[in-house]
Amino acid sequence: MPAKKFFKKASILIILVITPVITAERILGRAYMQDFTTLFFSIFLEALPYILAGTIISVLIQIYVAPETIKKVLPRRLLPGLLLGAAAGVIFPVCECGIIPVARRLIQKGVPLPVAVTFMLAAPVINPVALASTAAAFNDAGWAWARGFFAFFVAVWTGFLISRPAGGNQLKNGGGTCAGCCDHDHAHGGGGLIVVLQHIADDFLNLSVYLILGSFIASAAQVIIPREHLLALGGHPLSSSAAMMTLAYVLSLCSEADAFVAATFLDSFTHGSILAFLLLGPMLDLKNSFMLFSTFNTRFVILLSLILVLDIFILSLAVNLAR
Amino acid sequence: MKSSILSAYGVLIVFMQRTGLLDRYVEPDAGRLYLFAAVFLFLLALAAAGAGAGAGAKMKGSSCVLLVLPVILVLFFPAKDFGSFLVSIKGIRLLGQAASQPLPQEQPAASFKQPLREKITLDDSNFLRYAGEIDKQPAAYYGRPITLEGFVCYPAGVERGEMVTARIIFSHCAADVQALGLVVDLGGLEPPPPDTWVRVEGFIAGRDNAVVVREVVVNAVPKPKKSYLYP
Repeated sequence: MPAKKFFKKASILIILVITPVITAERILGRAYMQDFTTLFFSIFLEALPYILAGTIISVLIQIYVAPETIKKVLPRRLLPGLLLGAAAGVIFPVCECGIIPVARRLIQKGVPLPVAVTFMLAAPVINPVALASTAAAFNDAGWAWARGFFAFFVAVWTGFLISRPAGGNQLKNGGGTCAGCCDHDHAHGGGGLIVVLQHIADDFLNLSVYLILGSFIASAAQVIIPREHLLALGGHPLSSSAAMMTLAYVLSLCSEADAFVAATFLDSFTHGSILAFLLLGPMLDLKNSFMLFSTFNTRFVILLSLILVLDIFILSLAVNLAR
Repeated sequence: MKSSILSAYGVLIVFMQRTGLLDRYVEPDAGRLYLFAAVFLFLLALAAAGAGAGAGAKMKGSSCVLLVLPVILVLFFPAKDFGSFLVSIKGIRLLGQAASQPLPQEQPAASFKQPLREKITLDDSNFLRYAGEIDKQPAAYYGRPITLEGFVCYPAGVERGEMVTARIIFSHCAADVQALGLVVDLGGLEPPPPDTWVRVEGFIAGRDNAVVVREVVVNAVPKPKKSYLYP
């Protein structure tokens, strides 16, 4: 792009962003904007390395993994495939944002949708880093085991439930080959380093747009929704689960840190509701919802979200009743 | 444009890491991870610059606006340490809130002090440990002398003539910070303004729904360079 055109576009861009920022400061006040920006940038920054890692793995799968290899490795039947998909989550210590591009790429390479979704749901929760931090936060390995076990179960069960109503790969625009970055497939094993980096750059920027949108709205929700209204619902088995699941969705914390937040509610919320917080947040939250909608068909994301919320809610009620 | 945006992210992360500003957004131990991420972003920026105008999908204007937004916001509103404003939106956990018992009514307030018992001095290394122990068995600590430092706040539920001396716990990133504090009975002293850093010396007591520090001496202190607690 010629330099003059670049500077013109950059100037317009900066003015388009700066004007609403200044207006917001005038209306809301500097202190408010500082705290909001700190929350927003923190959520975005915290996920950034994992998005990078996810897009790197995704592009490497795209270029170097053949569909025939996937077919050899995967079991033919659904249930063994789901179990393998969930178990594979143990080796990917990334949060729910970084795993989405990997899941997309696996689907494009021929991994059945239910198996890829099971992997996508399980990986952020049952990886060793998340479980270790859970044990540390609660000072009790039992919570880590419970989280891992129930996450595995929810991921496999959800994968099974979506296998019937959701046919095809459910990727937006059929998935394409890259994230809209080019209109040709890559020869298996081909692509020099520069081409690989260009594809990673494109994937990363495309996903970051949705990460920024989700982080922005999650931060706004955190400063707008009074926390004490949710906390007042702590004692009742039904309302406590609903409140903690709402909190998990809005806070959009990563699975390595959410246990520390959950542990502080141990005295005032039911065990089932805390488990629901630990399960739902890494699988579905405000931040990654935007990324899910950008990757999968809208109807599929809505179906997946409903199944997840219902499964986890019922599970939390069962835990509350059992205790 | 893609190259510029990627470079801007890389430059911002490196700048924040070198100046220590990164610690206000993510945990300090993650500094190296972000440096690697910044280096990789620079590599991606170089590759994107080499792609030229023809290759790769053009980015929509709205996408560019969103991608630039974090950088602009952070430049306009650099992070300041969380304090009473965070308490007002996220609430605060008061020590002993779940388990406190009121002092026996017949015991005059002055006689609850046990000045010969070992003094508790809360600092960064033991604050969270003592917080957990006081929460579990608050009555075991009644009467003990205590010294602590923190910022002043006045959350809902605190009575007239009381304040809370609080610290911010930073687990992983700024989004999951929580406030933890101890109620202080000012006993007629002038309430300090919110966000003032103070040293409080007094004796641990209990009231209906929290542990409270009574018979206090309150002095303003400089705000520490690193004001967060990291579990």
